[in-house]
Amino acid sequence: MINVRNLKKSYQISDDRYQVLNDINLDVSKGEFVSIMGPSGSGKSTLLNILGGLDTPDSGEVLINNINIDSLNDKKKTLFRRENIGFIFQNYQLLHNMTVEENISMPMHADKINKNIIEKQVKDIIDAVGLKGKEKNFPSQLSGGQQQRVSIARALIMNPVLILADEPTGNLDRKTGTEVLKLLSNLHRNNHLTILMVTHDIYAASYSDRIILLKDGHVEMDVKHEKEGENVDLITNILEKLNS
Amino acid sequence: MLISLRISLRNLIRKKYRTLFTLLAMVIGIASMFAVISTVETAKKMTEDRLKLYLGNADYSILSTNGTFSEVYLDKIFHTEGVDHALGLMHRRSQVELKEERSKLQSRLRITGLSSLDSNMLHFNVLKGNLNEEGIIIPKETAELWKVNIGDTVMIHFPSGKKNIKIIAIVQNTPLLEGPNDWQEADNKIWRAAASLSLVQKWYMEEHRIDEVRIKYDQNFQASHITNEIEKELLEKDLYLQKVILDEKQTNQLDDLYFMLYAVGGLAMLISAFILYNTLYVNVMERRNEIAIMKTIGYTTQQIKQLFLSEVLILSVLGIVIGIPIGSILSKFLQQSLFSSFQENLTFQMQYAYTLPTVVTLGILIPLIAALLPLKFASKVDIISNLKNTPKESKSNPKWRLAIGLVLLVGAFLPNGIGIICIFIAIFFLAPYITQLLLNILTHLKLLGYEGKVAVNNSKRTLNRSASMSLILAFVICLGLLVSSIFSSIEKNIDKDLSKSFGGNIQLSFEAPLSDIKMESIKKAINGYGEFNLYPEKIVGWERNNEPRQFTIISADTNWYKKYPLFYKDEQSNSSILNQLEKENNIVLGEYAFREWGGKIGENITVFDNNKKYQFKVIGKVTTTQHSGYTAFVSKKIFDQNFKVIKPTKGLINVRDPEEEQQFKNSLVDKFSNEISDIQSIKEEAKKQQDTLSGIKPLFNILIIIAILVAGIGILNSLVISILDRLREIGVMRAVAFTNYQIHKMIIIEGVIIGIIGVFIGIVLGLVTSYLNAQTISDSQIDFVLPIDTLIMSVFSGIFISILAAFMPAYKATKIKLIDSLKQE
Ligand SMILES: Nc1ncnc2c1ncn2[C@@H]1O[C@H](COP(=O)(O)OP(=O)(O)OP(=O)(O)O)[C@@H](O)[C@H]1O
Ligand SMILES: [Mg+2]
Repeated sequence: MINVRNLKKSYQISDDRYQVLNDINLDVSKGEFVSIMGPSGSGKSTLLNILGGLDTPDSGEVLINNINIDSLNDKKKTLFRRENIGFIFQNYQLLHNMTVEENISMPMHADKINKNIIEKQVKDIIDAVGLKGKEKNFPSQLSGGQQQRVSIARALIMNPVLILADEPTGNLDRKTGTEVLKLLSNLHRNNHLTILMVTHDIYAASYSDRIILLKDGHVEMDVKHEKEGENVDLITNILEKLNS
Repeated sequence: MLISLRISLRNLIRKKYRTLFTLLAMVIGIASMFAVISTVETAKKMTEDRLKLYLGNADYSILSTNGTFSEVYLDKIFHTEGVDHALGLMHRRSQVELKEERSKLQSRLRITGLSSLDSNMLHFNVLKGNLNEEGIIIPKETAELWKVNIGDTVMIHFPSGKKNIKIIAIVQNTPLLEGPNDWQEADNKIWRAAASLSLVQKWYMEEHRIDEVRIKYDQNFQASHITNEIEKELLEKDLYLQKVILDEKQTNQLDDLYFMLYAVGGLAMLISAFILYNTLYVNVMERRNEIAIMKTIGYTTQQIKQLFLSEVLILSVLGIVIGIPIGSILSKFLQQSLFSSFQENLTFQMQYAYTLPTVVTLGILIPLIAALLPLKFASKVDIISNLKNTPKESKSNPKWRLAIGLVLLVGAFLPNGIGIICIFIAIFFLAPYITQLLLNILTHLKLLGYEGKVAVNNSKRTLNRSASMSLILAFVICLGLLVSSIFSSIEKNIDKDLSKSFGGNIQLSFEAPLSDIKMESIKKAINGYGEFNLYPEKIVGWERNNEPRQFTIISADTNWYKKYPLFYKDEQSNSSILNQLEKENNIVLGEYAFREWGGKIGENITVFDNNKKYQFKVIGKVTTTQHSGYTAFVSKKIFDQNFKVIKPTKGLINVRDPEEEQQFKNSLVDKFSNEISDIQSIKEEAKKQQDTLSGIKPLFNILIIIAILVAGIGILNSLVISILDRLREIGVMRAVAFTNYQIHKMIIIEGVIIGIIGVFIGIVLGLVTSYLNAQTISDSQIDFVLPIDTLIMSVFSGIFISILAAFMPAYKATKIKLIDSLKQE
């Protein structure tokens, strides 16, 4: 599903080049729920953005469903993203002047999908993320958790094969965070979605079935665990070691 | 102040595109304001100068009711106490024969004999040659067309026979010698030359006779005293003294034109002020956080205001420094087309003495006023809400705005110009509501797809900004429609109006009052072809606010006027006016004279003829082409009763058979080439008016195009700003689904929406104001004409310019770095 080969990315800061991602190699198969962890500034968001085609690598290869997203032109890249990838952001990134419905249906409208189909699909997804009755609300009239649900619904509306989530629970308290995580994990299980989630939170990571640790621009560690909530202690230990 | 200046400069440079476009708008605003003011100033100054030059800087002139008088008076008057200068003149007509064969019409020459060729009353600027030799003096332009140089000779026809006359000097063009500028023009315009008085007298065998003495008074003496002294000398009964009054209205009635120029220039400045307002507003909004932080660390409101004020000052100073030179180039261009539309090739000196301080003052004042509101926002920034970043709620427009707008709209039914002004102000107040309404309609039409819907939503969000931009475009379109409606109405009615008040189908002027013998021979020549009427005119003085003015009173033969009137009111009024004119001391004023006079029908007007006063009762205001309407008519009887018997200088002819008209005209010119100074058929006059009109039109087209361009920059500026406001949103849209093309489309639609609304309001406003304008001046030749071509043009250019203006912001939006925009909040 995802194949990353020798991925490099650096930024020029005044006179120095700062190597953010240094030779990353990574494979994710279809249906995996992967957490990406690592200290602040380790390049997690950068990696995710490159995977989603929002940013471009310096060198190396990124294949998603065997398509090199970086080789696509701008339009094809957008269409690819529209059809295959759903984004979830830490700060939700909703449009303030659009209602819940309108925010969610935006990608379908961009795709010029038939009105009736859009209507039905939006209704279904709103039910699925538990926002029934809030269709006509504006984002400012929702709680943080509800806003993140809208953002998740928007990511799912086009039936993508891959969800890229950058700290989806970063702005939420434990309780609402848990609800969002459960929602994601259900979607993962029921729809065989592939999810890549950046997080700082070990508790959040425990919902995934694989954890990748980034440090100093490379993959420091890559562990799989089968059951929810397992390995928490193990990962905690590793993280502590990394941070020291 | 210095430090805030430095910070402001850095802010301006950081937002370089925004600064550039704001500056561009200000430069255009200031340049067009400068161009318009200096054009009007120059035109005014020049017409006055020309009049002075033409009248030879004289205070008084002495004329004879018989045409000529003895030269001895020149000497007598010159030696009268208090007379500084006296110049004797004699104008005579002839034909000139050049190497190239030319028609008789094109060979007409007027020679002016001058008692002194180097008097300081009439100064020739000699380019080549010597004034003291024997021969004629001609201006440079004439010499070029005649293909002659000094020393060459031309054959001139005199009563004493043909003579070869030498060109003794070539001088710079001056009103006295102004001739045609090309051969085609020579059909209607006569060549002019000057020579010494004694030579002209000899050529015409009129030794010791003169037509006129022009007198300049010595400043050190009392004018009334000198006048008395001179009148003592004028023992011969047929001589009279006439004050020379500089009344530029006699030759120059450009007030309406000036007004339209000011309107366009003012509009351009208004638009640029609005653009500046927009920019500042966004600068403040963008830096709310910054302002809040500055306040927390101890900046006073005053200091924060100063920061933004320095930005305004930097922009205005730059705008002035760049705008004025561009304006002066533009104004030279405007001036050229203004004068060339009058078929005059004139050298002119641009007048900046008044323009420069005015433009500099306005160029600083207007931006400061535009900055007031944003500055108020800046000082009102609330610390807590901004540091917490609570989303702002868009305020809806207050109810009173709608109320005021609707009340003013009712005022449209008020008479005169007030109705039009009411509508303009009403539209200003109502613009957001109208925009909202049109946006709702656009939403329902669903013409533009999903991107269109989002675009409409965005426009609604920034309703006031979109409305203002549309309004500006609307004003430009309205002005264009109004001007072109006026022009097409005049154009359409030229033939109709002329035939109503041409007094026949040929008009004649004579070089000098006609003697009885001359009149007899003219009668003979015309007899058989049609009817004719010869009549005198009299230049009289009058006063307006103690300022001396003068116009011409025409002696009207009411019997002739019943058939071929020289003025027009309407079918019924015309005959009743003619009946009334027969009665004691009644007068009718031409439209322009009436307006200048400022009184009401039924009131008396006082006119002066030297020291005599006459009271006339104004019984009507009429349309006439005579002296462009700056004239008055009294009946023949009353004219003869009041003024010294003056022999006719004008003639009206109605040729029975229009087929014969041209041939008849030619034969008349042939026979009386020395007497007729001007002859014009109704067809020629119509063509001349048409030409003048088509000469002025491009001038306005240029100005309207400039105004549309500035409106375009305004739209661009407005869109750039709303995109900057929405960087993150556009980033999100791009990230989740939208292609660059779709974003592009959305922003262009936003531009088109502004365009459509602007065009719509503009057309409605333009048609309503054109209609009201025609209603207001119902008695003149302006009526409501639907200028279809301008209408179509406005629709296309309005929408085209908004699409064009949207391209840059759209391009900018698609170039937004996705990850960067997502980081924005
Ligand atoms: N546009 C940019 N220009 C220069 N440097 C950048 C840019 N974007 C990111 N960086 C740098 O790249 C590094 C990685 O950034 P990234 O956002 O990927 O980190 P992260 O792992 O997501 O951190 P966090 O956990 O804090 O979100 C950081 O050191 C950052 O300073
Ligand atoms: Mg990050």
